[in-house]
Amino acid sequence: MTGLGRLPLPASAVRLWQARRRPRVRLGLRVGGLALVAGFASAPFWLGNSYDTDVFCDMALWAAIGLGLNVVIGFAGLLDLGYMAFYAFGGYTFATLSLHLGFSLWEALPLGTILAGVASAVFGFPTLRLRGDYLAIMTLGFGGIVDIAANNLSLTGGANGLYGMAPQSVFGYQLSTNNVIGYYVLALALVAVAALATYRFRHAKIGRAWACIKDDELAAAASGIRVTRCKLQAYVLGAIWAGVAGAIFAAKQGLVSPETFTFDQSFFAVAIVVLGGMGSIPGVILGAVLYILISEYFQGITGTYSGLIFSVLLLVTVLVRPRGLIPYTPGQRVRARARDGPPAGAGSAPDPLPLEDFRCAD
Amino acid sequence: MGTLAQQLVNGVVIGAVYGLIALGYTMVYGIVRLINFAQGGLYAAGAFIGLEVVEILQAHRVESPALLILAALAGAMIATGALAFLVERVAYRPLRRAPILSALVSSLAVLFLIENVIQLLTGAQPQTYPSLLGLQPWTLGPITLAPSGLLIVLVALGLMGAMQWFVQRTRTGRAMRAIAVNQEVAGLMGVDVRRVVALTFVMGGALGAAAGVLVGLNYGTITFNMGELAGLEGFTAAVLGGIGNVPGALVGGLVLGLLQSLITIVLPNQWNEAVVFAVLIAVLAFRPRGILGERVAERA
Repeated sequence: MTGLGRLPLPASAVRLWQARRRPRVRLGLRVGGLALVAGFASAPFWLGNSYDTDVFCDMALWAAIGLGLNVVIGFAGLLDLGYMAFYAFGGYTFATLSLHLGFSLWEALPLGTILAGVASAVFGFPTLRLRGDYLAIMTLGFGGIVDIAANNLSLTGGANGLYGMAPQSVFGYQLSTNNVIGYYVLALALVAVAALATYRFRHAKIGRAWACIKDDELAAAASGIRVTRCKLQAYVLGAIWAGVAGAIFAAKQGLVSPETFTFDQSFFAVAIVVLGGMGSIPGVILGAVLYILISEYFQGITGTYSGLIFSVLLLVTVLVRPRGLIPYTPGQRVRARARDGPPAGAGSAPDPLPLEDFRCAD
Repeated sequence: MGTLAQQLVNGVVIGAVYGLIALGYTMVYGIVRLINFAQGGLYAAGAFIGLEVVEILQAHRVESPALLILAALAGAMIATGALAFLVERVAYRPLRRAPILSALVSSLAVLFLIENVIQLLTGAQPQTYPSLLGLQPWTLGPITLAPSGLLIVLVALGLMGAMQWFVQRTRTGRAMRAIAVNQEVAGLMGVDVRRVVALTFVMGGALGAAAGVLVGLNYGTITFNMGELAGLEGFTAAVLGGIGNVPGALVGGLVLGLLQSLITIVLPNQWNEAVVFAVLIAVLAFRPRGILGERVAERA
């Protein structure tokens, strides 16, 4: 309702918009929304086209990456511009172990994530004390070093990367790299785990500590939160998750190369989080879907419009809707109750007091 | 011995370029405390605008190299300054009171926007700069120096001196320093904060553009994404010298340039950039105020 009154809309449209809060309408909208999401997520199964499946698989993997980065940026407020470096750790560890020692994905995965976690802890320990913008530039430098190392070490296969890993299987089901429907299911599971885990983390003690640090570091420290330790936990957690996603991505592609871990890729990961809404789980998933849709749809024309459109979209979002497309608004339910009256069976609650602007100043 | 001397000369030339880009960062950071990631994009934009100016003038049969170079520099600096003004107006001013994260993301978005626009207009292939300064480099014993290298050093020194004079000796420069100390109080004392901040961005953009044109003249090719790495190198130079400090930008640039070219004696060329990143991380972690910086980077 806020803001809508200012638009020159016919009264019937406004009434229709306001009707969305009525319990039955709300239930209908939720069911409809869920059906839409389920229909979208299951699209590869009824489209049956291997190219589309690949696109959807990328979407799900980016959503998983975004959710991991969301912990770092959205929860703890640390701008990480070298996130894909940890993705590289996961991918290269799997590729190396698979090629040289014949490890399967599931045997290499723990090692890759441990490596990503250790690398992030070693790098994060001295750097996370710095203020936000310096941290951003240092993570950028770290990403750069990993990129150059991947391009020039013989262990990582240089600019060509590593390829020719054996096909993987999960619970006896063979995962094909031609039609990646199996990997799509795996990636969806990854998204589900990430969404659930980050949701739980947010409401745990550590999540509240992150929110506190993000709002005001000094106040957080004064209230007894060990700021650097909490930041390090967010950073390492994000890195570990990137390691998992990276290993699965490498298995799906059957290839790892430095191209996938450049600064551009790290920027897109940040953009997904900011576009969707920092801290917002559905927002980040939407951000990943939009990113892949835009890059797929506009790739056909010249290959550069996608970057242009995406950066404009990001800029407009930061300026016009700084909390993202689906903002995370803590305390929303409390406010909704204050506005709409008690939720249970109160279908015909009288129009509430003018509490439209009952929201925190941010 | 010969290679060492040659590498020293190369280091000074590349260091002067870093210094110029660093100067743009330092001006903006010193005054509004924002790492302007778009600086790299403005540098690339300057290089392409300069090339465009040269091509247009050559099509109108302007032959004199000195005139062409001057026109390219002036045209690129003015046009990029205008672009920087636009960027400040659209992408930063509305975020002045927003969390620092928003402004950083916004400047990153601008960097990618500029790169993508350049790529759309000119294509992904590297563009060739005409060699306006003649092909014969000067040789002195084992050392060779291209005329364009000397030009880079001279222009960089000149602009650096001009900036130092501007910031320390003019009324507007004093307003800039006042804003750096305390924006609100400066405003209360009658400084037109918006105007001075806008001017700072314009100057930063113009300095980046000068560096872009000079790099094009010296190395002969420019690419749409040249600003990403150069921006980071310039930022490293700024931090190394002490961000917010005008002479520091030059010192940082020279130290970084020399370090980078001396390291090629020991390490293969590809690791060159890794040195920059390592210096950046080491300086930020252990001496965030840099070589000359008076201001200690605020620890959280």
